[in-house]
Amino acid sequence: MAHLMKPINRRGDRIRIAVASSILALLCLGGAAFAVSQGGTDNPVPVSEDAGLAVDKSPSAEEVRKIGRFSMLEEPTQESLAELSKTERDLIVYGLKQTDGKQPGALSSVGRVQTTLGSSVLVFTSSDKICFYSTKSSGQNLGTCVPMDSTISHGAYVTGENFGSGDFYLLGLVPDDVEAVDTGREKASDIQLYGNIYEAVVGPEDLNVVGRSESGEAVIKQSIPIGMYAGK
Amino acid sequence: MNKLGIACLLLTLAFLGVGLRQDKAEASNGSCNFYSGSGWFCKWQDNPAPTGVRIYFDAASGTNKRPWYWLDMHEDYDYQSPVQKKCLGYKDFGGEIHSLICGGGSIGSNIPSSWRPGWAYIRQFSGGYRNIFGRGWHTS
Repeated sequence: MAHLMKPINRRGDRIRIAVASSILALLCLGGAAFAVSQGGTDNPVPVSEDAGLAVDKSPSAEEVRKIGRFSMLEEPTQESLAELSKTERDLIVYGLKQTDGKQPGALSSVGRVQTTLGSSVLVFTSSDKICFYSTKSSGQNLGTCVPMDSTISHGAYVTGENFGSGDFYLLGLVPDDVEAVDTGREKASDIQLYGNIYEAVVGPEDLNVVGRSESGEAVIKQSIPIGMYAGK
Repeated sequence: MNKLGIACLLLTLAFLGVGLRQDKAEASNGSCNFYSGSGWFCKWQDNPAPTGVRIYFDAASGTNKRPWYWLDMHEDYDYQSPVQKKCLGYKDFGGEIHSLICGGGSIGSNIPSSWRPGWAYIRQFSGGYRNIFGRGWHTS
């Protein structure tokens, strides 16, 4: 009887091992696929690997560019899109999904600047929204999508803890009529302007950012309560 | 070998079981689903949220400390009540609180791996009550 049972047990063993191995293999493959879909990086952007980047070739896209209030924006071309890193491309795909809360938008214009702080800052538009995202050499990626109209009249900004320090990273977007940005303090050279983008690392205190025209007139005023934001 | 095979199988099923429970979890103000392309996707909201109060992601399963890699925050689905002064934040596993990103629009930021896992929160500073919601992505 015992010798009859033995082959059955072995077959059972084989089946159990095969099932377990298959499941483990599937898990490993799934994990590997997920890692690949995240670009294999430590700082992935939440977009699917197969997500496409739609370019808006409609007349309305041309109208957005003709507004001409953000001269760093250009018509997206295959060449300009090919120059983007995977993270930057993913940020555009991600940003296009933020533009109306329902259907992903299409890219109507794009621009990019490199800053002296080591960031690459993307600006792009879709429909009536304008987005700006910074990819920093430290691995910090952040940004926002805001309505175009309010940005033309008031500018826009985001700020957040500068990874690895107690300071705050400040990133802003202003229209073309702003030629310089300052804080209204005595030492006003702490904010650099790159096209339509300004960037600075500042202390955790409230800040009044003023965007000035060529003649020095204040055309944009932003009260940024960093002290409140930093409040623990 | 027999015991090892059974142990592996049970371990695997237990792991899958945990995942399925999270997938189906109905949260008090947070819920999650798994997507093969981007991992776990969660969302939470407070409607309306008082000014200055941190609204943490709170799943009914009680698993709120998660390895978030990306968070974003929005004002309202119809964008009709802009909250320019709002923040998306994070409490790391050591209990330190970080203001990840503050400002207007649909703000989003990644989270360094050295801060994971942790707790995600949203917070608005409009001076009154506003509808705000947060979204987060994390690995298993």
